[in-house]
Amino acid sequence: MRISIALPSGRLLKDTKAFLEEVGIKVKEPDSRELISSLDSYTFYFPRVFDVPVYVENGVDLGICGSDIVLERKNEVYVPVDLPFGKCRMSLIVPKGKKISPEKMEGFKIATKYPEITQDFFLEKGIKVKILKLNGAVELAAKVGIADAIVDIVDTGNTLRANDLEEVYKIMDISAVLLVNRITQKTKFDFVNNLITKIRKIK
Amino acid sequence: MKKDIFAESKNLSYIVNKMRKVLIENGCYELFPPSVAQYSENLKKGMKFSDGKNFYLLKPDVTSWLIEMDKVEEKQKIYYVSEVLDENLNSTWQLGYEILDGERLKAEEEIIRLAIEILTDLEIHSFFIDVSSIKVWQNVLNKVTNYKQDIIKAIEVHNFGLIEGLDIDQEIKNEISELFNFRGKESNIDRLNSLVKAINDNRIYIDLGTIKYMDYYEDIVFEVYAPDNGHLLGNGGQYRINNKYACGLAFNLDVIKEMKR
Repeated sequence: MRISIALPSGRLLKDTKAFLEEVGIKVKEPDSRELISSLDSYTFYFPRVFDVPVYVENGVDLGICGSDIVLERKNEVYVPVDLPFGKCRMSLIVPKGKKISPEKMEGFKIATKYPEITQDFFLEKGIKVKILKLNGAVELAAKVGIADAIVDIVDTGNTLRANDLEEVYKIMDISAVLLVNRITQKTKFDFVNNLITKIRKIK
Repeated sequence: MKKDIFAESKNLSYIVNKMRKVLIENGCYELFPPSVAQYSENLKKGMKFSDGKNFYLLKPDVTSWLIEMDKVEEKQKIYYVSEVLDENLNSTWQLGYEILDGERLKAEEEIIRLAIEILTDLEIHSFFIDVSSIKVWQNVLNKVTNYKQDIIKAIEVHNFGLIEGLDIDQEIKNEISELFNFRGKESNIDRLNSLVKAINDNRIYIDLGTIKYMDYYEDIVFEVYAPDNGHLLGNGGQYRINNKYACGLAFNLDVIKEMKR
């Protein structure tokens, strides 16, 4: 039985590799600039982390990415277990000295890589905001003033401090998660359930 | 390169004609649902739009439209071929078939038998059909009304860990855990057992852990899938129209087309 796994290229990859080894899956990184590798009965794919849920929804057996990405992309995948790494938080952030509660942000421009999560957050509070979708370096938008606030991932807080920004509200905690294709859960039932059991023991 | 619409249609036409043949031979007739329906919160999927006076849905889910029409007086065996849109205009071509005013469990059995016959006729032999029960889950959810939404969310993403953290009785957690992980040929639910036994095909399983469906389903639901394809070939279940017992299944023609390529 072959198992395909979409792994997050980027900063989550190192922890993902170490964790999978703990549960008995040795990861081989691809040679040169290839995006696929194989070892034992596993085939590994290395898409951009934001695309991991898309691969899993469309037929790759398993995937690992941040829970923020699953919530943002809203793909039809199973997320059976949180993983004990990639811990951080998603927060609402403003320029230093301009602290204001989210309830008072009616009409604000909010820059973010996560328009869906941001929209859901403000909708739940009944607040209308304008969302500016950016693809990275979101802090800059608040710093130069094209947005009143940003919604972004906060890990150590160093980037915020370096850019004179401060958190006003934690929207959610984030961790790496395991994704399972809905059909894989049926056709490779024992493998998937054993893997989840192993992961839960390590957690 | 532009998509070759003629080659695409030729493929689809071949598949749909084969499916139609099986359904007509088994006493079904074709229903032609409208492309546009007056908006109702009971209608599923479809692209919402307005003409300035009223709201409408473009190409909604056909079963929910049938239920909304509420017109069934006597037994009907119908099928339809329809494009279904979602709110982002993503399109899925479906062939669905329904038995309206059918007999309890007989309707489910016939729907599953037809699915097997259709796929066999299309020379798709490597597939499975899972059956499950919404009612079994509802019984559990009714015991923990305060946490209903949390449990539904956990079921949807198949994450039992989300339930373990809830302040509910350990006995109920154990019951949920068993439902989550039950997959086999015989369960403690008689109606599912008798359905599997009646069809007597080794590709049918009882899988209680897979219940992501439209909310009009009442009890038994099905999923059709193939091990070499990451998407469902089709899904369906039992519901009521005009308080009459009904059951149906819709095949995703885009997935079947992909499998035949």
